[in-house]
Amino acid sequence: MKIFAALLTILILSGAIPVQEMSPSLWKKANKKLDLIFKDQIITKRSLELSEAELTNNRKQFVTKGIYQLFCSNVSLGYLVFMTSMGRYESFEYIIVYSPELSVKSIDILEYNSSHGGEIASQKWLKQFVGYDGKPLKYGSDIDAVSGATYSATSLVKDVESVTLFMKKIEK
Amino acid sequence: MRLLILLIAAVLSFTTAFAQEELTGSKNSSERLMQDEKSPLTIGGYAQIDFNQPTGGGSYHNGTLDVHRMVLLFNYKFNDRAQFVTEIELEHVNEVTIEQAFLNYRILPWLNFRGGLMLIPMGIINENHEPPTYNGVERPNVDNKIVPTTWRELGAGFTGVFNSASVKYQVYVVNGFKSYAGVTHLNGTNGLRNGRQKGIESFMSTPNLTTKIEYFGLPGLKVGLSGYFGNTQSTLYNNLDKENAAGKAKADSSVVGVTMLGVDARYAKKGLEFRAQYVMTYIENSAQYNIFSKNDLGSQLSGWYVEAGYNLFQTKSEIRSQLVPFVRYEQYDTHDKTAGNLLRNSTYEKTEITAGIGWRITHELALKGDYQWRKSAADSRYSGQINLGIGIMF
Repeated sequence: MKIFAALLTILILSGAIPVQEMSPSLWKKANKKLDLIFKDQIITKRSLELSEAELTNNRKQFVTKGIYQLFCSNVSLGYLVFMTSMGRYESFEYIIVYSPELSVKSIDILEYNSSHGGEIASQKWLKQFVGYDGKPLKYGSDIDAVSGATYSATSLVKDVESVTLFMKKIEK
Repeated sequence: MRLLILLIAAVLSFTTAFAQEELTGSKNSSERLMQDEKSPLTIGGYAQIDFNQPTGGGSYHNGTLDVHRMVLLFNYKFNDRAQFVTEIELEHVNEVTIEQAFLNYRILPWLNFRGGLMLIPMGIINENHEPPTYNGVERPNVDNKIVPTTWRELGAGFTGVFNSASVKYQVYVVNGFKSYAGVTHLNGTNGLRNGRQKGIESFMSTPNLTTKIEYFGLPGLKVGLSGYFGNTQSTLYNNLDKENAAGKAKADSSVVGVTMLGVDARYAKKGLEFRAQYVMTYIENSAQYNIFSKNDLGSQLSGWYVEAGYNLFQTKSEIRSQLVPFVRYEQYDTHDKTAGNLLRNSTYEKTEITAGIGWRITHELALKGDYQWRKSAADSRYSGQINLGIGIMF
């Protein structure tokens, strides 16, 4: 676990995984979602550190604003990843919450400002990712298509697959 | 404990900022691409390249090849709330127009102000016309003739999405079709299509209202209901004395009232794709307009189509591209009804069947081919056409 954390931090610091600035409003929204998921549990977050090896090995790129491990009284609750993906006109922000075993517990859209493609923020659609743990993820088959939101949906599916595989790799 | 977390958070934000500095150093191309997401300017576009070959009958037919559309899209973010979206289009290589040019200002998460040159929300294709997103080389003729796509006008209004209710709405006040501007523009062959002002020094006699509501609460399904209301625009009202009764009567005879209602649905599940659309247009005052214009505009225009397709690669998990055979049945009529002494022209009542296949290599690139059977109510036989095309978006 400590090595995992070390790996992630160095990876982020070296710039292989582009990490962008976090805004307080994003944290506020994320915390609200975390409260809903982990009802009443007091969560502490620890940013993860990464290793050099992960850096060069990672060929699948995605954009993250931060990867954290979540704890309640020293028991791991899982992981929190802030993600940025591209829609047709502009990017959007969301979080992926993973279980300690790195299967998706929840995906929540934090900010979707574009006029197109906002349908992917629907919980009914995002629920399809729950339990996802790194199998090949095909938009239109494994995840239902969203009419009128092809760009955002395809982008999100691709990035969720990339980051999940990445997390699994560095966990080993 | 809280202080410790606060301290860690402070250190974290500092290190993240430091990481930002690092990022401006050497980066590979994908990192640089993603770095552009921070740039306020997004560039995109789409293109449609066609080959059309009429077939059959006792005559020779030339085929046509065309860069039907080449569109560049720019999105500029002024800040978190305000952005400007524009699409510059080249049609048939030498016609330059602007498809969109509007400001979007987010007031609340579910309320955006929008103003400028905007796509009228009617039907599926008018707003969703990137070539890789629809079946068939050409856009459906129901959209071409009845909607009429690409229909965009200047105006202002509001739009937003209520995510909890899975509802998207749009309501704008826009300028209407021009029915008279030195020459008359509306007739039986083209319906309202030649009345589109497209933002080219548009003029407005009376405002028109366009609205659409869409529901996407059921997985895979998206349904929309559109309404467009207003009188057409005429230059005869310009500088017309309010006391001039005869002048007013003449101006009134150069406009018609338009009430257009549309319903559309898209459904996609497990590789199956369905689309259906129905548009009905009521034209008021067409009889007077036809006397004034010596044209043959109908009093009711309508069109509908149903389409079904299936992705042959659906169950092949190792194949990421999609191979989609499809079939579409369309009917449209610009003389659904006529008023006054005008007789319905049966050559305006069309039936078209399109059957083809599309290979969507990625969600941004499609190779398409189809065959179309077309006839009017006046024809005894269908005429045919082969279409091949490349459709891209980025």
